[in-house]
Amino acid sequence: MATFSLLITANPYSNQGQYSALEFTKAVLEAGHIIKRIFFYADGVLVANRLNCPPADELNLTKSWAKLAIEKDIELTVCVTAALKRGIVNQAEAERNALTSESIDPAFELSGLGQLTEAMLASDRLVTFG
Amino acid sequence: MKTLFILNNPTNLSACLEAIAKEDALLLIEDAVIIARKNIEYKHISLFALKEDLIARGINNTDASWELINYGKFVELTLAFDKSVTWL
Repeated sequence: MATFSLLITANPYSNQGQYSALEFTKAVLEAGHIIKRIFFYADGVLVANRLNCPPADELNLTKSWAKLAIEKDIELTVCVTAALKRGIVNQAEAERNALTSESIDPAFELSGLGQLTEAMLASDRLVTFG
Repeated sequence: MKTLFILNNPTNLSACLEAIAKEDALLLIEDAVIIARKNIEYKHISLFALKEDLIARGINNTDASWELINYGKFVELTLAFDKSVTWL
Protein backbone atom coordinates (compact mmCIF):
# COMPACT_ATOMS: atom_id res chain seq x y z
CA MET A 1 0.00 0.00 0.00
CA ALA A 2 1.41 3.36 -1.06
CA THR A 3 0.46 6.98 -0.45
CA PHE A 4 -0.14 9.29 -3.41
CA SER A 5 -0.66 13.01 -3.80
CA LEU A 6 -1.65 14.76 -7.00
CA LEU A 7 -0.79 18.22 -8.31
CA ILE A 8 -3.31 19.47 -10.86
CA THR A 9 -2.62 22.57 -12.95
CA ALA A 10 -4.86 21.71 -15.93
CA ASN A 11 -7.59 24.15 -16.90
CA PRO A 12 -10.85 22.15 -16.62
CA TYR A 13 -12.21 23.36 -19.95
CA SER A 14 -9.07 23.63 -22.13
CA ASN A 15 -7.59 20.14 -22.02
CA GLN A 16 -8.02 16.68 -20.60
CA GLY A 17 -5.80 16.93 -17.50
CA GLN A 18 -8.57 17.16 -14.89
CA TYR A 19 -10.31 14.11 -16.32
CA SER A 20 -7.04 12.15 -16.47
CA ALA A 21 -6.36 13.08 -12.84
CA LEU A 22 -9.86 11.97 -11.83
CA GLU A 23 -9.42 8.58 -13.54
CA PHE A 24 -5.93 8.18 -12.06
CA THR A 25 -7.29 8.92 -8.58
CA LYS A 26 -9.99 6.26 -9.00
CA ALA A 27 -7.36 3.73 -10.14
CA VAL A 28 -5.15 4.54 -7.13
CA LEU A 29 -8.06 3.88 -4.77
CA GLU A 30 -9.15 0.73 -6.62
CA ALA A 31 -5.63 -0.66 -6.21
CA GLY A 32 -5.97 -0.18 -2.44
CA HIS A 33 -3.57 2.75 -2.14
CA ILE A 34 -4.13 6.00 -0.24
CA ILE A 35 -4.65 9.51 -1.60
CA LYS A 36 -3.06 11.93 0.86
CA ARG A 37 -4.09 15.15 -0.87
CA ILE A 38 -5.08 16.57 -4.23
CA PHE A 39 -3.62 20.02 -4.73
CA PHE A 40 -5.10 22.37 -7.32
CA TYR A 41 -2.80 25.10 -8.62
CA ALA A 42 -2.68 27.68 -11.47
CA ASP A 43 -5.69 27.25 -13.84
CA GLY A 44 -6.44 23.94 -12.11
CA VAL A 45 -8.16 25.90 -9.33
CA LEU A 46 -10.98 26.86 -11.72
CA VAL A 47 -12.59 23.48 -11.13
CA ALA A 48 -13.34 24.47 -7.51
CA ASN A 49 -15.85 27.15 -8.56
CA ARG A 50 -19.29 26.00 -7.39
CA LEU A 51 -20.89 28.37 -9.94
CA ASN A 52 -19.49 26.36 -12.90
CA CYS A 53 -22.41 25.33 -15.11
CA PRO A 54 -21.16 23.04 -17.88
CA PRO A 55 -23.78 21.72 -20.36
CA ALA A 56 -25.84 18.83 -18.99
CA ASP A 57 -24.37 16.38 -21.54
CA GLU A 58 -20.77 17.12 -20.46
CA LEU A 59 -18.97 15.71 -17.46
CA ASN A 60 -19.29 18.09 -14.50
CA LEU A 61 -15.74 17.97 -13.14
CA THR A 62 -16.54 20.10 -10.07
CA LYS A 63 -19.29 17.69 -9.00
CA SER A 64 -17.16 14.65 -9.95
CA TRP A 65 -14.32 15.77 -7.67
CA ALA A 66 -16.73 16.73 -4.89
CA LYS A 67 -18.51 13.35 -5.05
CA LEU A 68 -15.24 11.42 -4.98
CA ALA A 69 -13.90 13.54 -2.11
CA ILE A 70 -16.99 13.00 0.01
CA GLU A 71 -17.29 9.27 -0.73
CA LYS A 72 -13.60 8.49 -0.23
CA ASP A 73 -12.74 11.20 2.31
CA ILE A 74 -10.11 12.89 0.14
CA GLU A 75 -8.62 16.34 0.79
CA LEU A 76 -9.13 18.70 -2.14
CA THR A 77 -6.81 21.63 -1.47
CA VAL A 78 -6.86 24.78 -3.59
CA CYS A 79 -4.00 27.30 -3.71
CA VAL A 80 -5.49 30.44 -2.16
CA THR A 81 -3.41 32.90 -4.21
CA ALA A 82 -4.25 31.22 -7.53
CA ALA A 83 -7.91 30.94 -6.47
CA LEU A 84 -8.41 34.56 -5.38
CA LYS A 85 -7.02 35.82 -8.68
CA ARG A 86 -9.66 33.74 -10.46
CA GLY A 87 -12.66 34.68 -8.30
CA ILE A 88 -12.73 31.51 -6.24
CA VAL A 89 -13.27 32.59 -2.64
CA ASN A 90 -14.64 31.18 0.60
CA GLN A 91 -16.80 33.16 3.04
CA ALA A 92 -13.82 34.60 4.94
CA GLU A 93 -12.04 35.76 1.77
CA ALA A 94 -15.29 37.15 0.34
CA GLU A 95 -15.75 39.30 3.45
CA ARG A 96 -12.10 40.34 3.54
CA ASN A 97 -12.29 41.45 -0.10
CA ALA A 98 -15.78 43.00 0.15
CA LEU A 99 -17.31 40.55 -2.35
CA THR A 100 -21.03 39.77 -2.50
CA SER A 101 -20.67 36.02 -2.05
CA GLU A 102 -18.36 33.07 -1.69
CA SER A 103 -17.86 30.88 -4.78
CA ILE A 104 -15.89 27.82 -3.72
CA ASP A 105 -17.55 24.41 -3.77
CA PRO A 106 -17.76 23.17 -0.16
CA ALA A 107 -15.83 19.97 -1.01
CA PHE A 108 -12.72 22.09 -1.73
CA GLU A 109 -10.61 23.99 0.77
CA LEU A 110 -8.45 27.09 0.28
CA SER A 111 -4.91 26.79 1.59
CA GLY A 112 -1.31 27.72 0.85
CA LEU A 113 1.54 26.18 -1.12
CA GLY A 114 2.91 24.81 2.15
CA GLN A 115 0.20 22.16 1.87
CA LEU A 116 1.72 21.02 -1.44
CA THR A 117 5.17 20.73 0.12
CA GLU A 118 3.75 18.83 3.09
CA ALA A 119 1.87 16.47 0.75
CA MET A 120 5.09 15.78 -1.19
CA LEU A 121 6.95 14.96 2.03
CA ALA A 122 4.15 12.77 3.40
CA SER A 123 3.49 10.81 0.16
CA ASP A 124 5.41 8.05 -1.61
CA ARG A 125 4.58 9.58 -4.99
CA LEU A 126 3.48 12.94 -6.34
CA VAL A 127 1.94 12.80 -9.82
CA THR A 128 1.26 16.00 -11.79
CA PHE A 129 -1.53 16.55 -14.30
CA GLY A 130 -1.35 19.74 -16.34
CA MET B 1 17.15 7.25 -10.00
CA LYS B 2 14.67 5.82 -12.49
CA THR B 3 12.14 8.33 -13.74
CA LEU B 4 8.79 7.85 -15.45
CA PHE B 5 8.24 10.66 -17.94
CA ILE B 6 4.57 11.42 -18.62
CA LEU B 7 3.92 13.31 -21.84
CA ASN B 8 0.50 14.78 -22.71
CA ASN B 9 1.39 17.07 -25.63
CA PRO B 10 2.93 15.58 -28.80
CA THR B 11 4.72 18.82 -29.73
CA ASN B 12 6.91 18.50 -26.62
CA LEU B 13 8.36 15.09 -27.55
CA SER B 14 11.84 16.13 -28.67
CA ALA B 15 12.50 18.30 -25.62
CA CYS B 16 11.22 15.52 -23.35
CA LEU B 17 13.47 12.91 -24.99
CA GLU B 18 16.53 15.07 -24.39
CA ALA B 19 15.91 14.76 -20.66
CA ILE B 20 15.38 10.99 -20.70
CA ALA B 21 18.12 8.62 -19.58
CA LYS B 22 18.59 4.94 -20.43
CA GLU B 23 16.82 3.45 -17.40
CA ASP B 24 13.82 5.83 -17.66
CA ALA B 25 10.49 5.23 -19.36
CA LEU B 26 8.07 7.32 -21.39
CA LEU B 27 4.30 7.18 -20.95
CA LEU B 28 2.06 8.89 -23.50
CA ILE B 29 -1.31 10.20 -22.32
CA GLU B 30 -3.98 12.53 -23.73
CA ASP B 31 -3.08 14.12 -27.10
CA ALA B 32 0.48 12.72 -26.95
CA VAL B 33 -0.80 9.17 -27.65
CA ILE B 34 -0.70 10.04 -31.36
CA ILE B 35 3.10 9.50 -31.14
CA ALA B 36 2.51 5.78 -30.53
CA ARG B 37 1.78 5.23 -34.23
CA LYS B 38 5.54 5.27 -34.83
CA ASN B 39 8.60 3.53 -33.44
CA ILE B 40 10.71 6.32 -31.93
CA GLU B 41 13.64 3.94 -31.05
CA TYR B 42 15.28 6.01 -28.35
CA LYS B 43 18.04 4.80 -25.98
CA HIS B 44 16.10 1.50 -25.60
CA ILE B 45 13.82 3.14 -23.02
CA SER B 46 10.51 1.42 -22.19
CA LEU B 47 7.59 2.93 -24.07
CA PHE B 48 3.99 3.01 -22.84
CA ALA B 49 0.78 4.60 -24.10
CA LEU B 50 -2.57 4.95 -22.33
CA LYS B 51 -5.07 2.72 -24.14
CA GLU B 52 -8.17 4.69 -23.11
CA ASP B 53 -6.79 7.87 -24.72
CA LEU B 54 -5.89 5.97 -27.91
CA ILE B 55 -9.44 4.59 -28.16
CA ALA B 56 -10.91 8.05 -27.52
CA ARG B 57 -8.97 9.31 -30.55
CA GLY B 58 -9.74 6.36 -32.81
CA ILE B 59 -6.08 5.32 -33.04
CA ASN B 60 -5.78 1.56 -33.53
CA ASN B 61 -2.59 1.33 -35.58
CA THR B 62 0.04 1.71 -32.87
CA ASP B 63 3.60 0.49 -33.40
CA ALA B 64 4.48 -2.75 -31.60
CA SER B 65 7.28 -0.96 -29.70
CA TRP B 66 4.64 0.68 -27.47
CA GLU B 67 3.00 -1.22 -24.62
CA LEU B 68 -0.64 -0.19 -24.30
CA ILE B 69 -1.74 0.17 -20.67
CA ASN B 70 -4.82 1.05 -18.59
CA TYR B 71 -5.06 3.40 -15.59
CA GLY B 72 -4.36 0.54 -13.18
CA LYS B 73 -1.01 -0.13 -14.88
CA PHE B 74 -0.38 3.64 -14.96
CA VAL B 75 -0.60 3.63 -11.15
CA GLU B 76 1.73 0.59 -10.99
CA LEU B 77 4.26 2.34 -13.23
CA THR B 78 4.42 5.39 -10.98
CA LEU B 79 5.35 3.04 -8.14
CA ALA B 80 7.82 0.99 -10.22
CA PHE B 81 9.86 4.15 -10.90
CA ASP B 82 11.47 6.35 -8.25
CA LYS B 83 9.53 9.41 -9.40
CA SER B 84 7.41 10.71 -12.21
CA VAL B 85 7.93 13.86 -14.26
CA THR B 86 4.97 15.25 -16.16
CA TRP B 87 6.48 17.06 -19.13
CA LEU B 88 4.24 20.11 -19.66
